[in-house]
Amino acid sequence: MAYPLDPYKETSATIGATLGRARPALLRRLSSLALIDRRHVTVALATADGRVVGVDPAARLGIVRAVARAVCNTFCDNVAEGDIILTNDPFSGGTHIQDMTLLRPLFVAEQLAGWALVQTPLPDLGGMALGGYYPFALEIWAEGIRVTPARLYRQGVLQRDALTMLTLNSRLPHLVERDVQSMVEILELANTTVADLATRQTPAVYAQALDQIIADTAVQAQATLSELPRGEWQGKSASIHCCLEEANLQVTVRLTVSGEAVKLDFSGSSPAAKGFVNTTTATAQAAAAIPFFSLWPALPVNDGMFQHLHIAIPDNTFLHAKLPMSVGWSPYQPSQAVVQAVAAALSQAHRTLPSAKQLAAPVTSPPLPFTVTGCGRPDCPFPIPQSPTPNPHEGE
Amino acid sequence: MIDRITALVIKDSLEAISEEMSKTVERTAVHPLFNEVHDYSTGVFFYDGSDVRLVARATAIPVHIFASILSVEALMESFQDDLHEGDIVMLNDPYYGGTHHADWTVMKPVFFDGKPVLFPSVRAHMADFGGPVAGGYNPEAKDIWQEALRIPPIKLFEKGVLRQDVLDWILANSRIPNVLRGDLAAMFGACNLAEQRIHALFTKYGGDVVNESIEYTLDYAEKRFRAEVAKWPDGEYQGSATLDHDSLGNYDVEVKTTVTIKGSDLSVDLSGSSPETPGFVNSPFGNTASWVYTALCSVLPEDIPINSGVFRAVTITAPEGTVVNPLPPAPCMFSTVVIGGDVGTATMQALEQAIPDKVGSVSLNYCLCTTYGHDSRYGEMFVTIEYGNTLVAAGGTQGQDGWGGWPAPMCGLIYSTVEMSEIQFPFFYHQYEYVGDTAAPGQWRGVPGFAMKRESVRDTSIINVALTGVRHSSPGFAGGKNGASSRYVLNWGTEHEEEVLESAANRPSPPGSIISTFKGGGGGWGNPFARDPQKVLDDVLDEFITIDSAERDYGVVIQSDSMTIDAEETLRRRALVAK
Repeated sequence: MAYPLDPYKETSATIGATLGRARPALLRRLSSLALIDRRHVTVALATADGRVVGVDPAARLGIVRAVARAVCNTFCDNVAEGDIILTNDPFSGGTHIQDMTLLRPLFVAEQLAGWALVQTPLPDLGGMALGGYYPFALEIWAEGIRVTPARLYRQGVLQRDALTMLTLNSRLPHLVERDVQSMVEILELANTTVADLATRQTPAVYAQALDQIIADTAVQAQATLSELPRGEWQGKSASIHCCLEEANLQVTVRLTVSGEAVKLDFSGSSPAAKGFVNTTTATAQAAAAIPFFSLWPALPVNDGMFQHLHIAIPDNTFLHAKLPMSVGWSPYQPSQAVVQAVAAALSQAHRTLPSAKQLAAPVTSPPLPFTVTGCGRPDCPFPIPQSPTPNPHEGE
Repeated sequence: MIDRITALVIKDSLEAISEEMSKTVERTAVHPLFNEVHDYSTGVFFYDGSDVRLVARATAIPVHIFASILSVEALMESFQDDLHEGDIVMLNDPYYGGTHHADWTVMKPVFFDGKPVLFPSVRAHMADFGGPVAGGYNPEAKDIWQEALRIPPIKLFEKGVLRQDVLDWILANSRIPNVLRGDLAAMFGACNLAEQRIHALFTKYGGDVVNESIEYTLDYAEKRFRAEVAKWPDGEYQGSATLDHDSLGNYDVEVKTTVTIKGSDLSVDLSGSSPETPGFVNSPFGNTASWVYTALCSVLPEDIPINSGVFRAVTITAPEGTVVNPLPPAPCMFSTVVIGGDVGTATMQALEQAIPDKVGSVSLNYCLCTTYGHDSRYGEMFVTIEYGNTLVAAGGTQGQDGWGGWPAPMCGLIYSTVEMSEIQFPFFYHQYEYVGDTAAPGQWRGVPGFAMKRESVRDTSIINVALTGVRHSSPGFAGGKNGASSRYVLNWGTEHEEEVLESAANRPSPPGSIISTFKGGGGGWGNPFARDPQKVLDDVLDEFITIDSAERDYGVVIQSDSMTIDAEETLRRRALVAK
């Protein structure tokens, strides 16, 4: 007689093992790895209603959480076994055009039991600049095509015309097609592993285990937060450069600890920018949570972490990008500025937190394979072009 | 064998279906580009198992509907074994059955005996579809991805069920998705209506009779076309047209044609045309072929049916890698008007040597302005093309002055009224009229040039401009003079006044600022000194020309006090010129 495993522990272990295998496998498969920011390559698992139960790497929790919820809202009542949804839309929970997310629903006994998710930057999806980073983009359509959540596979059948529309809009169609195929393979890998577990446990038990994992994290996160001294602290970021404006931008945050909850209020941050440093609330929230990970080094990374973090982003700031603002640079300097500001505030509340100071270190540029020509001003983060690029919108 | 009466009834039925589709779009679409300006076309295509043919069309834009043959071919290549009743397919990609991003083709296969046989289709100029520049005309584009969303043949309906996710994806790439949704629905509706009508036709006559009638009609058109060509003198005739620029610093882009007539065979060879350019004027083959057909159809008797029967009698050669048959990813958004129009002009110039009495302007020589912004009255974004500065291009032809505005092949377009435009968009028009002394002289003169002054009101608009026809204006034929050069001025009447010489992108036009445009008309036909003096006097009385112009350009002397022709002096002056 087999020893009956604790469903909670078994599910936790399976999620960890699945993610632990999936991301390296995805990295091995990606054809365009040399052309993309590999830190954005992410795998995750979510509940049937789109709550993330596990993600690798942990720093991407907030990012995939927003996508999972957005897709779930659109498709949870209209999805079938074998479907695969793709999206890169920053205004549907995404970050910037480059980061493409594929989601596959997990069905057990004909019931939606969860989702597997992979996200990877694609090397090009049209727009003005190869690679999509265009500092002079006034709108998102100058950065590439928006792919709102759409089926790439329907009940296991590839929607060839949809894939063609995706690849046709890329300067590197073969790489895009191969990378999308790799993402599909990883979803299959994750799906198979988790489906075996959920089938063995029964969908109801599996769902309870997922709920329990998230609830446990929330409880432990709350316990840590409640140890913070009560009070208010402010944090500011270094300035953020925008090639389309003379004045730099800045993130300002007020951290309020009041018992069990922590509030982050970004009022006072700079207003919306002309250029691609605007950031969606989902991206800003994801970045805002990162410094708190230092408080929870041993905690399973999942949706529970956000349960007691209340993040307010006023809609008159550049951290509340609205369609059709360009957002291409948002995962970099702007997100790092959010991290920096929050870390600066948090390190005042929790002075012994070593990594908070580390997080507040000066912002560095991400690795980029393509030449991004900026305005050439002294604080421009992009490699200085041979001759300064004239601002095509000068005088506006 | 089909009897001729039945064949004619079925031909006319298919043309009536095309007209009904057109009316459906006109009455149900949202954007004024459709319901006022009529910048769309409808037609019915036939697939015989191997080839696609245009069999019927409504009065519309030739470059739309002729090029849609390639769209249906692309549909068949993509979905050959995967087409079902209730499917609706669309595309816009210039290298995948389209011409430029703006023209979207919606097609619906109609089945008989389990096979897709007829394809009612609508091709329309959509107002916006993403890309860095609203409206898609990005003069700075160096590749096709810098223009807008590329759509290959894709099913929007599958077995009658809307693919909502695919539609949402496409709409997300427009600045005005709700307008686009409405316009697409109008196109779907037209195709659905046509399907019903075609089914009724099949039920009444049977599929075999319909198919035989179509073959008969195609054969008849080919026979009539060949008979016409056989009347033209055999020979090799050269023509050329030159485009001012490609917006990226490349000038005098040339289109060359050699039209060869041998008996009833006609071929058009575009070898020698300029290599494809970095700028957005490159003309994909479907577009080039459409403009060749447009020129040819313009010189035919009116009673010859225009369908693929005519086209299959014409051989077109356009070397790959040239401006008339570019390779992807060459940008091509402007091609439907300029290099396309130059293909039409060059073909006409070659034909001029063989059949001078039949030729005239076919092209537009565009003065383009797209405008984008937010209209605070409605709380909505808008994107529109300003037709006021494209209006005139009609040249003279034997027996007819350049009339109205656009040349005959573009007469499917209808002017948008300034009153409606002011309601629909945050504009106020100060001027919208012909300009005296700008009509190209000829025995049959061109239409006068047209001036527009438009003010932005309430809200700041974003303006994009591409100007051609400045150094190379619309040519005259058979001795007629060229049309006037076009002009475009931003911030007119202010210290920031700026004359656009080639193009400008994403220029803000704040409230109170005025754009001032002048569009040169089409060329004249025939020697102006052979113009009927009474017509010259009429033009003076209508203020199309001045008394000075009458004397200088036409040799007609008019007494200014009585406004009558001085016949004796006119004869003397004309005799002097003749010497």
